[in-house]
Amino acid sequence: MGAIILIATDELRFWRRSKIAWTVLVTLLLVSTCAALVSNVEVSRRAEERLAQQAEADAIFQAQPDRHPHRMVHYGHYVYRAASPLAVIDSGIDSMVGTSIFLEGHRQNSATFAAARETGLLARFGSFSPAFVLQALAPLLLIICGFASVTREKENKTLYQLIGQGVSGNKLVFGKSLALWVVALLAILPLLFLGFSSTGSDNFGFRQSLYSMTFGYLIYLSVWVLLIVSVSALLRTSAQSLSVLLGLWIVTVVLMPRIASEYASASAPSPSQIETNLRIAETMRAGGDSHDIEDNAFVDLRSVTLAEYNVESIEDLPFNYRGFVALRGEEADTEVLKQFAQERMSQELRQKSIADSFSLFSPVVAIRSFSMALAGTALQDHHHFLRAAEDYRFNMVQTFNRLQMSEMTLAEDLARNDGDEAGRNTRVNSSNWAEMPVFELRPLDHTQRWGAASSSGFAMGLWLIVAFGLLLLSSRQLRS
Amino acid sequence: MNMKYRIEQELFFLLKCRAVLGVLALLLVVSGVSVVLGLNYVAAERQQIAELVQLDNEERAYKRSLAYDYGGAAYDAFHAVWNPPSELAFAAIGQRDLNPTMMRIRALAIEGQIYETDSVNPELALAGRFDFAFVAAYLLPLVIIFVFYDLLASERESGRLNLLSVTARNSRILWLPRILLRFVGILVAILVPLWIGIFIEGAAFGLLFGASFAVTLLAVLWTGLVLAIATRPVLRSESIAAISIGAWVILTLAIPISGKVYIESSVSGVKGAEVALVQRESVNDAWDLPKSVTMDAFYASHPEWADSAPINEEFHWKWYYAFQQVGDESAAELSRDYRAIMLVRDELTARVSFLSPAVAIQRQLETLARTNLSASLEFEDQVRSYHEEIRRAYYPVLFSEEPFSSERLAQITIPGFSNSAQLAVE
Repeated sequence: MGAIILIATDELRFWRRSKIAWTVLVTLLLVSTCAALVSNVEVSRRAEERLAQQAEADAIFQAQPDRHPHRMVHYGHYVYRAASPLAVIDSGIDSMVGTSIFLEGHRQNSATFAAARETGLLARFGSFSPAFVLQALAPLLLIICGFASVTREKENKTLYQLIGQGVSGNKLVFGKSLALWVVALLAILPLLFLGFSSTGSDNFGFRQSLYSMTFGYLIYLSVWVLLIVSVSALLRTSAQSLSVLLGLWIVTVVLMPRIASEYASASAPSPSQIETNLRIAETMRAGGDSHDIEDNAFVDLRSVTLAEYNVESIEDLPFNYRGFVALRGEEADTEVLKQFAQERMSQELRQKSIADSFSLFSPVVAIRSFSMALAGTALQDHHHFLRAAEDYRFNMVQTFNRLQMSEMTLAEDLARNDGDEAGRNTRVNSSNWAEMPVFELRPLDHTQRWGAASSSGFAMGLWLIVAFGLLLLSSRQLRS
Repeated sequence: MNMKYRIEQELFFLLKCRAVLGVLALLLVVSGVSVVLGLNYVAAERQQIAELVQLDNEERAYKRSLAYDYGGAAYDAFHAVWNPPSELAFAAIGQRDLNPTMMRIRALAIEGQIYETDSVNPELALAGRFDFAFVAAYLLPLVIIFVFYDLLASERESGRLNLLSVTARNSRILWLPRILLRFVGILVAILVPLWIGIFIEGAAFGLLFGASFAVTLLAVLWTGLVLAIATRPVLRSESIAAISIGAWVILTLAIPISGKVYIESSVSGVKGAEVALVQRESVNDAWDLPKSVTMDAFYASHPEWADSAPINEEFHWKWYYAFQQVGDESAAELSRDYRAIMLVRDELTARVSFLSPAVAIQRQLETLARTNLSASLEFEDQVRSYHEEIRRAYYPVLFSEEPFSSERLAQITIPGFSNSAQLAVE
């Protein structure tokens, strides 16, 4: 152990003297800290913006005057997606998906106004977040620090001196790795601090997710450290080592994520929104128009209901039959909508898992997915938001439909257009809108996030084993 | 030692230099893959558009067969609009995957319809597309760095530099053929797949020339930069590589990302959601307002219908369509501001492109391929004017209160959507 530490400290001392390594270290720490600060400001600004918009939408909704409940079904409501506290570390798909959904009766709108669309061209160049720095830039800087760690000893003919003094190949590569690993550790620190400060008082286990995430980045950077030292030990010259490592970086960091997503979208293509909408419309047509109680689709409902309440006509029912049809109609519509939404989400998850399988070719694909999942900014979190919004929509609409059932008679409802007096009879007190619970998104909890991250975590474990194996292999080569 | 002999000699060297040849082959393959993926993408889009148009016509005809009043017929009649990919779109898909390529609109308020987006898998979109523009912006510079960084240093480090300098009459004849040959090799590797793609798509020669020129310019720029670093006599080849990669990181990642942060934080204003909200409020408030308020506002912008009969009923379709239009008018200013902000962001992006060749080449290719912001806004304009055509088609029967007849309804024909980009394809 002593020899390993000695080699590590010696390597660190060398970096301090060498201009390039020193520049790299300072750059890495600077960039990593800046990213943490900038990201913190940016993400909190966006989060506050959305909170303000949600508050505004809630206020407008609650201030609606007395109205016929079905007017409110069509008036609808806006909900906004609150940002995860760990979005400061990895904003994930946040900018790619819409931030708000308009909720109304009879239909499911998509989330609109994605930031990426408003930003334009630059949206795809990455983001200045700790996650991007650690995933893409840190490996590059580690390469520039460490590509010559062993080849330098070969080129200066000091390697055989060291081995002659009884330093084993293993100890040499472990020592070199340790030195590089210290750098990696320093790079991760800003992430930990930032995450710690932004997950102050939450009940959804974001602290735990932060720890898991930090651990994930530690493994990821360790994989790079081991790969860098292995390559440096395997090759003859520093120049060779550098070109191989840069090539590796280009392929895994720059190319692989795009190849993975192209492959996924080509091998499991998803139907266009319009095509789906047409299919939804076709399916819903069979369900009838719930605005019209005479619609043929509700003939059965009428006879069953009359029999159940043992009355002769719908006028004798103890509630407003129009409201009842609206209630049942919405139920049937929602069934269809949910089924299509589920289909689309499964398709997206299928594409994601195809893309994630490229983790085996690139640790970057693995850490991207791992980090997003734990940050609560991944696909499953967006789906969770969509489901929560849909549940909220359904409850809201059904609350209005129940008001229509209970707050007026069928005769009053049918006569609602016959003058002001009749119109007033079918209006429901505005306090009902103000009492509607506001939309609050309960994020997924740590176990669910971990569940989504685990397969990528497993892939990173494999990479660590492979990289470690390569290191041992490379040290064997040093001896001969 | 004449130039022709030197070029033949360098060609021989190049063919023996496995590393450089390997990288050129890799560039050729990667560029080829990006072109194939792009071609598949636009083919799939065209297919989807063709299917949509078919489905759309059937659906509308079916809905029309059920109509029993004009207002209801207009309410149910969705019309397909689409933004077909240009002949060069395969090379720079740009924001096409986030912007809708097709929509179905009807005579209701357009502000409530135009911001609908197509379904994209956000996690796949996040990675960005593997199109030719990506290969040119990201990989071409890296290949240039790889091919040129040890041009001098390798000769120096192997001790041949002095010998070569002494034997050559001047340094130009020594280095120029080598640089030129490698440069041409890089250009051929990246451009040939593009040319094949352009040939398949049947794009105009101007586009081929424009795209090739932009890529060549980028290659010249990077080659110059790398050579400027590589010819510094004090640097070892590893240092040259490290510094060049540093330059790549700054120009391709750091500047665009900083630019993005700057643009997003400095340009704030109307959010899209606000436009939708205002339009929605206006349309909903109309239900509670006296009908004359809405109708007066409508007649102010549509005086040709001002002598239409007053409305006494609780509900009338002409009032319904009037308040839809008034809703659009009330959100029009916000909507214009929203667009203006996007244009301001785009303008700032153009400034960033002066600092980052990666941004510049993407912008240039997207402009040529008509996949940029202005093309997207142009499509939006076409949709807006088509929407106007749709709603105005129904106004005569609504405002002159003609009694309903299927024959009269059949006379209301709205020509299918067409746009200039499509004509270019056909």
